[in-house]
Amino acid sequence: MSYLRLVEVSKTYHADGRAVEALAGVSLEVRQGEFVALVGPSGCGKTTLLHLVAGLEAPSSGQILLAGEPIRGCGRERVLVFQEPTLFPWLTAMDNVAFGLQTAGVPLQERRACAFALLESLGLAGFATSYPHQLSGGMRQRVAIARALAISPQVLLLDEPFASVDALTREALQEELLRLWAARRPTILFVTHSREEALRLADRVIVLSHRPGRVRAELVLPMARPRSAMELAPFLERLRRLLAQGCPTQGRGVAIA
Amino acid sequence: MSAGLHQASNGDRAPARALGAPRPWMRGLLPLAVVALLWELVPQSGLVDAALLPPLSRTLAAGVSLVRSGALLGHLWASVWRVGAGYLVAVLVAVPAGIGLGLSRRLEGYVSPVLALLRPISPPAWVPLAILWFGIGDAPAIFIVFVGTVQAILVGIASAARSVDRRLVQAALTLGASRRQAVRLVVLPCLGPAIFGQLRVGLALAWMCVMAAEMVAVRRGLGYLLIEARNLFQTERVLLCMAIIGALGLGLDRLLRTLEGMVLRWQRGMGADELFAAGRGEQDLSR
Repeated sequence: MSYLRLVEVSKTYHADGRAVEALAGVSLEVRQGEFVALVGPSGCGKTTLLHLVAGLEAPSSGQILLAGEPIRGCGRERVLVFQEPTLFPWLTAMDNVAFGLQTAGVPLQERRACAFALLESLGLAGFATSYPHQLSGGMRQRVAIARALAISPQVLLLDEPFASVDALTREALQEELLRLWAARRPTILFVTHSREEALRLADRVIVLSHRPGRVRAELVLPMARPRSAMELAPFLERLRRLLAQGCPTQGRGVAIA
Repeated sequence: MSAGLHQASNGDRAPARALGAPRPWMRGLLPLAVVALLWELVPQSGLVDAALLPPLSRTLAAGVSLVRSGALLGHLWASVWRVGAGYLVAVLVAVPAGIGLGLSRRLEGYVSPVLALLRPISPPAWVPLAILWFGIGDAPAIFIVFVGTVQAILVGIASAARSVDRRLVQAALTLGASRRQAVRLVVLPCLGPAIFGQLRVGLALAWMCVMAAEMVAVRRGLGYLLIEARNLFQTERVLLCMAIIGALGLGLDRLLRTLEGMVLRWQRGMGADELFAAGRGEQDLSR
């Protein structure tokens, strides 16, 4: 049974008297605890989709259901992690992680202990009292993920979270994410530009078409993790072809890494 | 070669500083000392008529006699009280109102024409009305201080609130913050630097306003002392009052900056000035 359901979700933006259709009739079903990756050309509305599920914006038409209930606005059970870490610069790493607990009214000592434990599990215990500007890009993104996990969300929405870190850090972060996912089993919607990343991480890869975004195809990946490059090769080829078709203006040289 | 020079002078850095280079807190004193010296010597030398510009020593002597007579403290306290009261009320009104105005387009739509209408009316232009309304005494002066500062603080904070990074607010909302929590926990800290900047601007304005008010509406205060001294052609006292106003403003501004440094500790090591300071450090090394 599906846990998160998108039913014919459309989103149209109005700017300077022009209507821009970002998403057109996206329907999607996600099981509880499933790891779903969303890929598609630039500007296909992937980020919009996450914002809608997070409740930061409302769909122009269609419905988003979580456990059968339509979502209304933001909620603690759905957390979005942005492409940039967007940490609060006036809070230490620990207090950033504790922020979601603070909004829930958890007392200071308790929420700090919880935040510290999370940071520790991500190898950042030594940086708990550092401010964001004192951390490296990879550390900041770790803190941002810890901050989202601190409130134990049912649905974790990740918007190209590893796009701005170097390749080595990226692999380490991917492994950590898989570890955390295995331990806590949130439902994950993971937007990425990278085909390899999508295939390495997800149970299922959803391919969106060029603007306005529609679900174009999906790939189911039944293999256990970690997955070898050889296992992934046929999927990579299929995904490459799907994406190449999906972008009418750019042909083969799709804006996909 | 230059690397070798660097190395050698690197070790010399601390003693070189102890001998010659001024420490940071001394930097501000040097120009003050120069001004004081010129103030004393130029009139003494006869280059300028001492009746128009009495030397520093005579000005200070006038100050001492005013303090002895007990008059100065009363005037000083009167001005400080008016500035304090008017400024405090202005801050308490302007900071929340500025945040509200910056975050709500609807509110801004209603209020901004009124603000634009009031803006060109300078504080002295309010004085006649303030006297008609409140008579002579503290009340009109406090009113003038309030009117003259509230708008400046409000407009500055509103524009800063409009440019708060929306992604930080989104991050807070997605982490379960209510709208009120988002304002209190995210918008307010984001505005910290802007608020302190506006507080400092407002404080300087408050002193300007209280002078304008005291020159007409009251019989006490530094502004009154100033006008009275002019009427009696006591140039020393005129200069004395101006110096006191300047010194008070300087002291209060320092106080606000210290407070800012304490409240906004997280900003340490973030500012662009630190980069330039590092650059200067290099130059110090090669000296």
